[in-house]
Amino acid sequence: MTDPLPPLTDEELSAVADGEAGPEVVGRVEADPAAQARVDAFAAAGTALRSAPVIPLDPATVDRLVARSIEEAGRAEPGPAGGAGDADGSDADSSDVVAAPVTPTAGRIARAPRWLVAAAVVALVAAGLGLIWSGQQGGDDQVATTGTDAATDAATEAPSETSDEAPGEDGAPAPDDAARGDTAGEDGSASEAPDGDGAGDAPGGAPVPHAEVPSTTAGAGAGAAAEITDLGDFASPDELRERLRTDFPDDLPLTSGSAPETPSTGTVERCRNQVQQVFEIETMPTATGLAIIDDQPVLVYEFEAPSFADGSPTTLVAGVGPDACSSVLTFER
Amino acid sequence: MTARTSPTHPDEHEPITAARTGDRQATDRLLRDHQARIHAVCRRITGNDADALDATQDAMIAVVRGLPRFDGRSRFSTWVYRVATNTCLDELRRRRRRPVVGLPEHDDMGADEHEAPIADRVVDRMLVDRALAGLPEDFRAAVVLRDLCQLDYAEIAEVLEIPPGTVRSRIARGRAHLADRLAGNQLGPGQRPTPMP
Repeated sequence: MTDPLPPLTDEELSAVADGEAGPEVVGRVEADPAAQARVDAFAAAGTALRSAPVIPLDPATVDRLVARSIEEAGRAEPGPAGGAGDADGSDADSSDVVAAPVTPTAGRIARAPRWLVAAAVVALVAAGLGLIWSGQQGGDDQVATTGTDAATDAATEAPSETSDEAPGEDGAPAPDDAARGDTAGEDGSASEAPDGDGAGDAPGGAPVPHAEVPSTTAGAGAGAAAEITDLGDFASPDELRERLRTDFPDDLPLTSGSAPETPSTGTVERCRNQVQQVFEIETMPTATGLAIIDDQPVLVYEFEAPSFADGSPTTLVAGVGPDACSSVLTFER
Repeated sequence: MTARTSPTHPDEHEPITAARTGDRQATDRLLRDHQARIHAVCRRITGNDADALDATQDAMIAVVRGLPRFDGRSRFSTWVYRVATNTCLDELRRRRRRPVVGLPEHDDMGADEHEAPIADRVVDRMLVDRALAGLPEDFRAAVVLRDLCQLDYAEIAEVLEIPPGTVRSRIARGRAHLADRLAGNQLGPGQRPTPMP
């Protein structure tokens, strides 16, 4: 009588699902329905992971990522090239990797004159100081100092983008790209610009002055404050939901650009794109508004879309936070 | 989202070589060709759109910076996965964990008679996100590289710089967690399949 074989481990079963197991193990699985069921469950988990779609980035975001990648990589400090014996990309994500200078293949990149760069720096610092003064009158000196440092950091970062881009080549103005990295998230979490070196961080997490409300995520559009329906203040998402249950008010004033919580046009568009992608909506919203829920801004979009339940025509109402376009409420009416 | 080409596939050789010499158009083309896989890996590993976007940007910058060091011994896509994975893991370790960006309020949508249930596809995405979020980062990366990117164990070992045996173990443990969460399977260690008598 032979000793019973030890039970098949999850490791062996998982390897069977991946085609990485030996013939003996495969044979044992084929002879054991319970083992086969476990293998099937592992395979199903993999299928679920592959099937659940990752919403692709919209073309504008891809353009922005690619452009910034080339630009940021081109600003790497020159140094000794990687050795021939290095593993493939082993240090590719370290900050001291040498990058071959990215040179344009055609034409020259127009550079802004130095006086324009200097003027941009002065304007940024002045804007930052002005916002601190207006928002922090009689406030903490440390906060003002922190804000000034952050504004200076933003201004320092701005000229590189201004000078490296031809006018009109990139629709996103450089100052907001630079300032983006200094903005604390609306949920209170610290945020960093995707620049790899944290140069844009605001020390201590103190509020950073900004003229508009840029997002911490790459792709936040800059530009003028959005003019959308001002839905007013609510104590909770349920209260907003109740207000919008039957219709979207069309007799309310538009948002005022002077209010600090008013998102930029780019932010409104970015979050709209996000909602459209999540719910696979191809049409533009029939209404857009801004609600303040418990002192937090929420962008509200209304779409005419097929019902998730039966495909019949319905109205989808979606509310998202402007910072990361994270969902606050969604319902159909 | 598969890495089916042989090392330094001929179709990639020319743009890679050109990009390594600083050819902007070639670099642009390479980034566009691989941005989808970079983003997909980042999205699944970080678990939310905001972090995924930041990680994607960081990874793409790292790809461009690291091009001079890519010597073609592995597939370019494998190397890109490596960069993306390392970037995401670094991102997760640097930041405190954020709530998953999804549709949390849909949990109670069924309670309101005026609100319709969400599409199955959206629910699937949420379930997968939440199931992955329950995995340790290292296990999550291994499972994503296998089930999403369909790299084999040897390639995953190369990407994560761990022995193949460790790859096997992490995938198994991660997949077991996923299978249990996605299927509601409550099998415990005492209920493992046993050989037929």
